Amino acid sequence: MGVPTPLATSRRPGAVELLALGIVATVLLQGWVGGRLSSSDAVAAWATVFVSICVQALPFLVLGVALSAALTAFVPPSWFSRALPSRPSLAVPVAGLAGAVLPGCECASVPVAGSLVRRGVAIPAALTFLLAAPAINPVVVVATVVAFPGQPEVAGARFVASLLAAVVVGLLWTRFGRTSWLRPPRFVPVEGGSRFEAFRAAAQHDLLHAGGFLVVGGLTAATLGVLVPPSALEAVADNEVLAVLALATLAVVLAICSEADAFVAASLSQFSLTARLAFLVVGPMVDVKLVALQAGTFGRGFAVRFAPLTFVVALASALLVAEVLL
Amino acid sequence: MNREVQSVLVVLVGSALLRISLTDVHLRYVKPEMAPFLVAAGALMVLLGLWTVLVEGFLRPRSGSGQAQDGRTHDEQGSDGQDEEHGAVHEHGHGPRVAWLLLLPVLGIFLVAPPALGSWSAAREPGRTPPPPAGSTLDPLPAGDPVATSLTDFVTRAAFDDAATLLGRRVRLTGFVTPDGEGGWWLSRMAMSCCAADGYPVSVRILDVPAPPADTWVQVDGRHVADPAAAEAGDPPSLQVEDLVPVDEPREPYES
Repeated sequence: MGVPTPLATSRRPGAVELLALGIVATVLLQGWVGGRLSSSDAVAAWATVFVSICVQALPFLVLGVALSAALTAFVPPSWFSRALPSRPSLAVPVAGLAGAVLPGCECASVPVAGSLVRRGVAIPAALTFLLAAPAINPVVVVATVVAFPGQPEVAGARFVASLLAAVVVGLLWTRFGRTSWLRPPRFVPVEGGSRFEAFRAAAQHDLLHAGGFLVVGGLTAATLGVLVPPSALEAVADNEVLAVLALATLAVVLAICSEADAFVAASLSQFSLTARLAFLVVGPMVDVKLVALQAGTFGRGFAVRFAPLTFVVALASALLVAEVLL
Repeated sequence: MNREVQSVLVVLVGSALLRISLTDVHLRYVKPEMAPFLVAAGALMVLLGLWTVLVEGFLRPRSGSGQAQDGRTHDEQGSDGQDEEHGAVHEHGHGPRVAWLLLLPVLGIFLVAPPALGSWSAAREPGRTPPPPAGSTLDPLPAGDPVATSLTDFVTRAAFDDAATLLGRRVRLTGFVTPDGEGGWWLSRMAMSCCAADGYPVSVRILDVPAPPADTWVQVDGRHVADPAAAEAGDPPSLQVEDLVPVDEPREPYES
């Protein structure tokens, strides 16, 4: 790259060294590793499935990250709080619908919800927004349509069930929630730098963060697909109760970003649409990554109450909507 | 990881996408229609990484902690919950550790570029019979002897309408060899709805011809052999082969 880095003399091995090492290793190992795999190989099939999930999902991830970084950098949070009605019971459904404008996964919605609370938006509305945004924004809906070709009702069911669950959680919080459960978040706001710098930084961070979790999801789905024989998967898939619970739990454990989870769900083709809808509705609302983010933003006491509540409501909503729409 | 390493990662992932989308390699994993989106995503990632490198190279980094790293708002006192999620929530000044995992698909693509799904996947489950065609009858096969058609089309015609459209016709099918473990073999191709991850096999049982090596791509000319019991059970249809020649793997290995 030819740009002299002033830190070169005083830091541990970094970018340039990593790249050089990677190039050398790739050139040396390529022939050997490539020759070891053939199509009649379980490992090759695993690798193919893994790569295909990542490759298929990445364009949607990039799109979602670009849009959410733009929103984070260019739209002031005060705009959101001005746009919402002041009565919580009205603000909740409006906030839910407003979630449709924030493309991105929970990586974006948790910090945005935190800053909404800081700017005085009613907590239930902020929480509904937090739950709805990762699930009903256009990027996710399009991804779901693409992942289930010829079955647009899956995307529709996902939209309805997610919005319903988000609004129900918000309304429940209005009725039963207590502010003391939230530790008021104290943020270090972005100082200095231009809006473009904020965009660039947010985009790069979100891309890496979401991409990393996409890889986790891809690894799990590929391993599941290759290790478990189709007949065994079918046995679980055929039992309706087991199938739904298994996929809902998988969604919590897998923590894939919502732009990409539709593709993982599509690959689980032995499972019923109901079970896969549960996967799609539960995932963006409660998973290990989200719980960690929420605990970090709003405090552990909040996360411990919020996660189980959301899980149950999301699951119930998915089952209800699947009954009606699928 | 510092910001330079982050940008290298982003550039690497983008380059991997570009590498497979500007060549035919992506056809092993996703549908052909995805190519322009892969190119766009790859290019955007490379540009983003290079942008960061330029920013790092020409702006003197301010002395550390006053400015929020990565331009993200984050909670100063939020140390609860950060440690249990191994590196998911980043610490002040560092990138998300989970992002190292992105090296896996990068290495997968640059080092290995795994092959399209083949006989191992096709042998795991019986060939799938497509759903009944819309409308009550199938259009007749186009003229030609032999007439080239896809495996999916052949299987559909064999499964419905008592295979009337296949009567007395010689068809030409292309696929790869999938041994059945009992000395016989199928001619198969994988099909996908979304990407290779949900791939399923479409197979035709080949009669009376010894199996070439597994995963060999061949073109066969033959006639359908009706087997009503097999059709009832949903088993793959059978083909009496008259001619078989090896061919190169097609540019698009999956049947669409």
